[in-house]
Amino acid sequence: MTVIVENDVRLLRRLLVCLNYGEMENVVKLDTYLRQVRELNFQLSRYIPEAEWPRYLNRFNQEEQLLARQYGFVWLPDHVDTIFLNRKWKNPFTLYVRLLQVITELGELGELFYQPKAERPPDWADQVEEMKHFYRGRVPTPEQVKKLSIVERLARWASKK
Amino acid sequence: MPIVAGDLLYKYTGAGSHNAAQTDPNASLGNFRASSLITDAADNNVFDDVSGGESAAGDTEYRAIAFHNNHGSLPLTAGKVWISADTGNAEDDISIAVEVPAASETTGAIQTIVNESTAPTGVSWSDATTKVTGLNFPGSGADVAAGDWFGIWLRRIISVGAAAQSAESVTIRCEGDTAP
Repeated sequence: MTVIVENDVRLLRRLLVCLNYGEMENVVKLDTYLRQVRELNFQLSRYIPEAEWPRYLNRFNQEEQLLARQYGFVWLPDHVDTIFLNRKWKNPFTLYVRLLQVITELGELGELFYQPKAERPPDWADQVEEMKHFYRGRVPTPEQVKKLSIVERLARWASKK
Repeated sequence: MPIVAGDLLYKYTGAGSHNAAQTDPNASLGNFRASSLITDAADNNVFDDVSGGESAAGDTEYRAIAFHNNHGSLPLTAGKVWISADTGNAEDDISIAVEVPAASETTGAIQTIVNESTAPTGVSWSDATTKVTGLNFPGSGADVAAGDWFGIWLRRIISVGAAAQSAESVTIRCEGDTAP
């Protein structure tokens, strides 16, 4: 049985944060790291039948149980403990998204702080470039204009007929 | 009758003698366990506000609170203590440590620090946020016998130049087993 350390617990919470934000690629990365490198044995609540959840949550008060149900939890069978995402931890700026040590092999996900992409301030330069690209795609080429005019002429002719 | 949550009390330290009244959070710096209960979920019930000067320069302060098993006969066994919730941000940090009272685990005292900025000695700090990584209760067998207590040291670190924040809090949780 692997000895679990606080950094692992925080990575498990980071996994739940990514899951809540729909960052599935990051979920897979964290899951793989925790299972294969850290050799942790854990179960995500989404793979546990909901009817069985009470046995994993009965230690917690009502508010905590609601949070665990809403945001999901991680069951550690070897350690008989449940990790859940307190609403205070859901804020990407809070302490518990902060790792105690950097995991370089996880790249951005292994940095002390990780902010879900949806929570990041918009990068205006990127957005302007995206808009330009979008509108460029909508401006018809001369050939398209020509084809359009032929189609229009045909349509008019058809309507007169 | 088993131990219930109401038998487990969080009290101030800093009393002049065992179980004397001491209600000042800023004086909860170790020594004897007070009779005075800490009001749950109240602002400044343990730490005071951080002043502008303290946040500008950075500040590390300490408090000691007491965890008291007030059950009439049963010990709380295989106990753990951890930080179960924290609204802290990147600019502050709370850690915990535990200390068993000397001489007697019922009426003894933990070390006293001379002021809130002095670190207690001989304790190991932890940032544990779940039971599995939590600190074992100090003393033999991670148990707290009926009537006994132990000290929980809290260390609050405010980073240099920390921005003003309101309503920051932590929740400390102790959990153990009880006989029926």
